[in-house]
Amino acid sequence: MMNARKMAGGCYVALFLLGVAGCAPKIARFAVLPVRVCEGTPSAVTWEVSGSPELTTAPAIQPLPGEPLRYQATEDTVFTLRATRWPYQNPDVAETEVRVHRTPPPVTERIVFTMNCDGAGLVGILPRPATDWDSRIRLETVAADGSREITVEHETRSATLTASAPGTGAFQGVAMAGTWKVTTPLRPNERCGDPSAAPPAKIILTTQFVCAR
Amino acid sequence: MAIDIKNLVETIVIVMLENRSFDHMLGYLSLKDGTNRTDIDGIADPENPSYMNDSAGEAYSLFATKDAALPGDLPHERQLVDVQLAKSAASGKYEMTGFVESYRRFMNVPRVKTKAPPIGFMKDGGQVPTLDFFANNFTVCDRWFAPLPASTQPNRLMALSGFTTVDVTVAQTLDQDLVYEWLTERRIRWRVYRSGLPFCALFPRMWDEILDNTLFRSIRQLAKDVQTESDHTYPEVIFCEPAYSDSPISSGFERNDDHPPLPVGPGQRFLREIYEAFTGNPARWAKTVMIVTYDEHGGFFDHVPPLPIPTDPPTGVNYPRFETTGVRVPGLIVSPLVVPASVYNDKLDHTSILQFLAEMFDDVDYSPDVKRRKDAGIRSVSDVLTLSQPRAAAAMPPLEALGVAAVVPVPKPEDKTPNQIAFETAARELLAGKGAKALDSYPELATLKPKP
Repeated sequence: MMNARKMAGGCYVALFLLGVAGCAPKIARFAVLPVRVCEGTPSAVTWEVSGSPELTTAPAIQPLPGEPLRYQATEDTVFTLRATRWPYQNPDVAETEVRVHRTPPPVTERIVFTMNCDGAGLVGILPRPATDWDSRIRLETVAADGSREITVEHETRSATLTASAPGTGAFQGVAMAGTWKVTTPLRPNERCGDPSAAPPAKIILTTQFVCAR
Repeated sequence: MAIDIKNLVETIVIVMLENRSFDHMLGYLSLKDGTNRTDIDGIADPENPSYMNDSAGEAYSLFATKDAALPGDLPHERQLVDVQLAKSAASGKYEMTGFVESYRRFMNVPRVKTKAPPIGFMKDGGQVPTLDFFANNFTVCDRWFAPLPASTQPNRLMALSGFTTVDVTVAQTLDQDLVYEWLTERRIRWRVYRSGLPFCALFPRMWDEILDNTLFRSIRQLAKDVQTESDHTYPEVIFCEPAYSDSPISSGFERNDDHPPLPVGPGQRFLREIYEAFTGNPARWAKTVMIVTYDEHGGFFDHVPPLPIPTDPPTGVNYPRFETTGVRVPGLIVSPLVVPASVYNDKLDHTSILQFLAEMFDDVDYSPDVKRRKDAGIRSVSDVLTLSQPRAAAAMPPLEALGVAAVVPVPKPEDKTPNQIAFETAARELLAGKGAKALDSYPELATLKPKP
């Protein structure tokens, strides 16, 4: 763990102006983007806090020179922001953390779709923000558990996963970011919204991705 | 009714702590790699896919944790409990997988860390040593639900009345009929042993009573009363209240109600002291039933869906109907009238206590509201009692052997919660209305700072 930045917040001004006993710390915003990075891609760190902020990283890494504040993770790294109330005797503390995932090829991640009824089937839509992902991260494979037929659409491609072919390479080279859509037909014994004949509430895909050269 | 309660039970003790779910506190009892109690519906396998929470498309698995102060409170008001229950449009079921998503919205962040507080569960009995002792020596009720998918005030009102005039916790004093009045009308001896302000300080209609030392007494007097008080005045119904973290005063007690961000170690000590006080008089203990539960789940994960028992607002009150009970909470019956290390699997909620009181002290149902829940399948606490011959009290291991979590600094919320404001308002108005008499019972009221 390393203490990278420590600085005074705006609390002091309020203290002197209002004559109050202290300011409760608050982290209004803490962003480390992107959170999925490839080798060599820095993540920019920004925050808005009341109180005195202190940023630490585990493992300890140094920020890159210059502004804005950027770090280059060489492995999975947890960024922790603490805001402490002044005075420091009996301090109040607010704390939050963000884990930056450094991608060594290949990485596997589950993504979860909440399913809704759509005619004779179920549909799940999941947007994945472009700001979260290093633009160099590219899909290798997409797979389901093979328990039912699922059609996956992402970017301009689509593939149908079945019991006999639960995985696909159809999305190879496509970015993770963007909107994903899965659909699956209802089985004869399933009725949408009926707990006694319940179709699945969620569908989980396992994605494998790498950093493009 | 399992046994002749009117002959076998003379004292009912009710202890209600704050804001923890069954799985969070007692789920470890079922761990395949741990205690492996297959008779209890806890967390047998934390990796069970159906327990997996999801938020913004990312998957979150349950994780075992030690007792510690939490970073802050968790969401547990009606709207965000609804997110936690995660009723699926597709399956039509409550999937119980929205606890992380609810927390993310509560924290107003794009994502939360992998080990999000709502999905942590106590790793073993060492984290909750008194509850663990109770589970090993008395009865665990693994279908005890908070009556409503809502927060503190609605659920405590259900416990104290069988109905609630509020569906969310409000920042003001409250007014509705309470179980204390029901007991008084029936000439039943009752008493509240308090640590700091009792919950019913929020009710101005109770202010004369809470300043009456025969009815509301410091919990410091409990052990002595159990030992020496005359049978003519010793209460038939006893409420033991913790030092609430929402109260502006605590009469010198450490806050021990288990409300996050508190660790649960202080609450474990509180329960232990109560148990030792009652078992200190074996003759009285032989006829005592102690009920230990939590007002609501506090935003912590539980895997059992709520019961489909609806609750309508009372006449003259307007809030949307609740379609289900709340989330499952710990429920334990600690009494010489139960089998050691047993489990009760049928449905209970806080109104099970009111059913029990009516069976003990009346010949009719407690109220139409409580009867409606009974007709919907909610059982009475009396159903848990099975032994016609009381057994001797089990001795609790020494405190040092229990490894109760040390008291650790607890972060304070930046803004006061509605319940904190309600408590503070009640405390100020109590002081203003009752003056010196209020200070006799609650000297700390004098330390309340003037309203800004």
